[in-house]
Amino acid sequence: MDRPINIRTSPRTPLSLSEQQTIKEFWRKKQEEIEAIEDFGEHTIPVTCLKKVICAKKGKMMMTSDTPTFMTKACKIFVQELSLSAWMCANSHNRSIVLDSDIAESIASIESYGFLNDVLCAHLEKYKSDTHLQSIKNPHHNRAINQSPTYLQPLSHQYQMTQFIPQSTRYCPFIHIPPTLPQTNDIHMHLPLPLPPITYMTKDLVFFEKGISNNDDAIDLVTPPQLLPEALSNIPNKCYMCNIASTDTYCVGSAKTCNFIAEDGDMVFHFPYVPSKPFQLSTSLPMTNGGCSIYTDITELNHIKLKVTHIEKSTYGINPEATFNVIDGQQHAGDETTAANHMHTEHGELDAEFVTTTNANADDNNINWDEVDMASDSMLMEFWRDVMMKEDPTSLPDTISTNDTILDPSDMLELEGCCDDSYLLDDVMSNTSNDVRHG
Amino acid sequence: MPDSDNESGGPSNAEFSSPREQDRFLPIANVSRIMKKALPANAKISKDAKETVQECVSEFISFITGEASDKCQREKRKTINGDDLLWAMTTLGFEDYVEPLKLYLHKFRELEGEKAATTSASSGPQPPLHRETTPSSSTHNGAGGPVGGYGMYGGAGGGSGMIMMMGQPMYGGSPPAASSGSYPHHQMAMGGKGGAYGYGGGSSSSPSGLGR
Repeated sequence: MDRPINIRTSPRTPLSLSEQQTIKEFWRKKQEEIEAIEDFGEHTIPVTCLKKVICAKKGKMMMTSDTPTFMTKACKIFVQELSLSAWMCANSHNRSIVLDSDIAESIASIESYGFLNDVLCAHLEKYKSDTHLQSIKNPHHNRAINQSPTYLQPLSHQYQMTQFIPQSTRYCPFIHIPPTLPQTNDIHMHLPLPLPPITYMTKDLVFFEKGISNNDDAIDLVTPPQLLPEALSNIPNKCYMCNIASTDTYCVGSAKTCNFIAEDGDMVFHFPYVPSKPFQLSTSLPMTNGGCSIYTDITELNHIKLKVTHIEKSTYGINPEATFNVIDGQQHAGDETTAANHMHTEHGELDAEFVTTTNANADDNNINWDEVDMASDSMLMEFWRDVMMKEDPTSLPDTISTNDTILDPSDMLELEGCCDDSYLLDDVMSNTSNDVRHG
Repeated sequence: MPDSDNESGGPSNAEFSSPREQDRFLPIANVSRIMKKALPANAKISKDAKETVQECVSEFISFITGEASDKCQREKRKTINGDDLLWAMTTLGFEDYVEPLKLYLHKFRELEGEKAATTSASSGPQPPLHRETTPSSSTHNGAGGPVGGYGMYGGAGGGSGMIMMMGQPMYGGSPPAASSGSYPHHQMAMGGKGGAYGYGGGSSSSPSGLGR
């Protein structure tokens, strides 16, 4: 049963002094490591695998419990000694990678490793099969990289909401407007369509605060855009601009609204024929020219027509009514200051109309002569500016201007000739209704 | 007592003695790890070098154990022990290994001796079936019981100590072992767990011993 021991003796390669020192240090470290051992539970090599290797050749074999532990330690020392020797071989060749040739060289250099020569020969013969086995034993596992999906940040609609809120805020004040006033708003909204809504809203706010100023502002806003495009025919343009302004001014009065709506209807009838007016003017006829001048007077004095009618009536009719009208005007001015009631608001606006029309009348005469001579846009602008300046003074100058209007007999005669009886009747009825309301 | 331990270990060895290609070598990962520990950090090891060392260390195991087995057979003994392995290494020219490994074996036996002393102090060996139920007994002991019961469980703890001595080698090998799911392997695993519990049982048995 004696197994022949195949110990091959090979000449030992002399090691350098440093290498010998390294080997001595290696064994000293091993001695120290073993002296420091306190736990035998940790095994570098699995005991189960070790037993399989032991039983692979010799078959079933009995051993004490210390045998696997002993062999595990022996194998560890063996592997480390062999690796260290191979590393020194690699360094001698100026390499930092240990190759199998270094292992073979170190085995050849150690006498006690002679039994491994057969293993090396077998390794060379089984190179391919071993490589195949290794590839099976150590499959290359590709790690799956789990990328977390990146969600796009949702768009914020805060900007739109921000834009929406101010608009609603702007509309809120108008909710508190009296029921009759919305009609006025609707009428106002039609005219300044080319203007931005925000500006219009601002003007409306001013309108409710100050009636007189608003009237002038409204007129100024409306007039310039329509004046410039049609600069050639000054007289007809002026007439129609006055109509538009008058519409804004006279929409408030409920009783007078009927009367002025009729007038507005007439003006609207004229308004669509704006393009045709210049052509008619171009055909110079004495009667036509007279008609134009008559139109100018009538349309320019349209604001004053009512007031002139009042004066006319007072002059030719009952003097006390004239005095009463003057007193009513003063009281209306007071009501306008308080502006507490809707009816008072209407009266206040009537006074405003009175003042505006009176000033227009006075300036109108002067500007008419200028237009006849020069007929330029700058004059029209000066006309409007004069009207604005006239508004600034107190009510007393207004009354004086009223007197001036009365003192002009020629204008009154012309008006009498041009006015229709129906207008007079309407004015009388409106005056009567005003008196009744005032009482 | 050691003989009985070996007899109980026999079937396990038979179970793992099936010759397979992958069983002829140690795991290359473990071999590679041991190699790196002996070399500087900047050292690199080629795959061929790892495979060569893997084959060499397996041959080393067979070489040493074969020589030890032959010695036992000549001396009419059936069991290989550490001394036989030391003798074989000396004979085969590994004199440098003898000094460290002798110290290693001495310390191992000291620890084994301490554990054996503790085990013998508590009680003798128990039937295998009873040993299998030891872990649950230890658990119950942890829950706390009467004084008398405590003493009884202390004895059971001692039994766990016995299993611990047997199962210690298995405990180390159980994680990477290729589990076949057979009964013997399962018993081995249970032994390992028993060892873990047994240590606590051993410590608990000391007070009971004093009480007695």
